Amino acid sequence: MILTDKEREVYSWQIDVPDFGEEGQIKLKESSVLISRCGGLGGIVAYELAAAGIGNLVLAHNGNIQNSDLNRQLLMTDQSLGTSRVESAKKRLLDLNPRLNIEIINENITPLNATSIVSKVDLIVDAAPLFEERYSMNLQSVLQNKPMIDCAMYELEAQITTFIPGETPCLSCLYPENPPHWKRRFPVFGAVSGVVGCLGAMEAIKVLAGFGEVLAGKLLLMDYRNNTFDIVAIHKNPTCPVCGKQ
Amino acid sequence: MVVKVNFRTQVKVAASVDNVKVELPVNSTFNDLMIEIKNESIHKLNSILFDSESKVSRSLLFTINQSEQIRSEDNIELNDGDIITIFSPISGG
Ligand SMILES: [Zn+2]
Repeated sequence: MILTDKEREVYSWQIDVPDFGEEGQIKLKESSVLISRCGGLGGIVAYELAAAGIGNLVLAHNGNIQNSDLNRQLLMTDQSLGTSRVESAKKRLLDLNPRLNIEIINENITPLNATSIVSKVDLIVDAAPLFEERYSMNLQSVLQNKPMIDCAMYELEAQITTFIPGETPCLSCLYPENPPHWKRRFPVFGAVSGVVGCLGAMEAIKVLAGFGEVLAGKLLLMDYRNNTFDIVAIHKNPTCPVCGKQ
Repeated sequence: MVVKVNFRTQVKVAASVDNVKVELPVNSTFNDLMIEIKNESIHKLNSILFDSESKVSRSLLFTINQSEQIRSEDNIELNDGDIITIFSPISGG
């Protein structure tokens, strides 16, 4: 695969990054990424990956746009209230970069659809609100040997790590049981999801293009209330039911 | 010895404070710390930190000195001045 003259021009500022270059850009063009869901977190990941020229994006998110989405879900607009979230996301992304293939799936990830949806891509970005969705993607990440960038936010806090099957812990190593206190709705600012979304996009770009150091086996923890940023080493759980035998 | 305990995510909201300092006998372990937190009855925390059998919940993340994950089942020995941070899992949306 080669880049067109138009693509060389559009991506010229990032092609200038010395250890990325045109070779890295071609890798992004050849790549496929699943983003679930494309709300406050995943929407920002999708926007940055579209701008960066990831060739194929698969967006999974059920439902229609509501007023309460608009403080953080920047691919959704007031004018599109009541219409499909993934349709709105696809339109906004193609307005920015019409050179992409974007597949939209008007469903959230479940144990039933995860196998086939994950099989379409090279990398998963987990930006889903429910741990059932997260565990479904984590299982397929391990079974299909595909990296998963795990982004999370709460109030003024955010977390991100990159799971590499066979190399790092997986989500079930970190949290063996579905947290009983977690609720679908939680307090958060859009600027917090935006920051961790941009970090998630950069992790995906580094993994796919194969440069820089990714957060493999490391969890970045941020608290904007008091401006603390820590990176902690995280470990495989030898008895993990998902990756323990790997 | 004194160990500082930071509360983060939903644990911080439940505790209504950012951190506490806990006085422990020398050579105390992680589980001694958790028992002390339980006995000090920061009771708002009990339902989020402990399961129905009063064991430390498996769906929590613990770090030591803001640099390393630790697991309650490893029950490591603590030192004076250690900082333990407790997170409940968070996600996206
Ligand atoms: Zn695991």
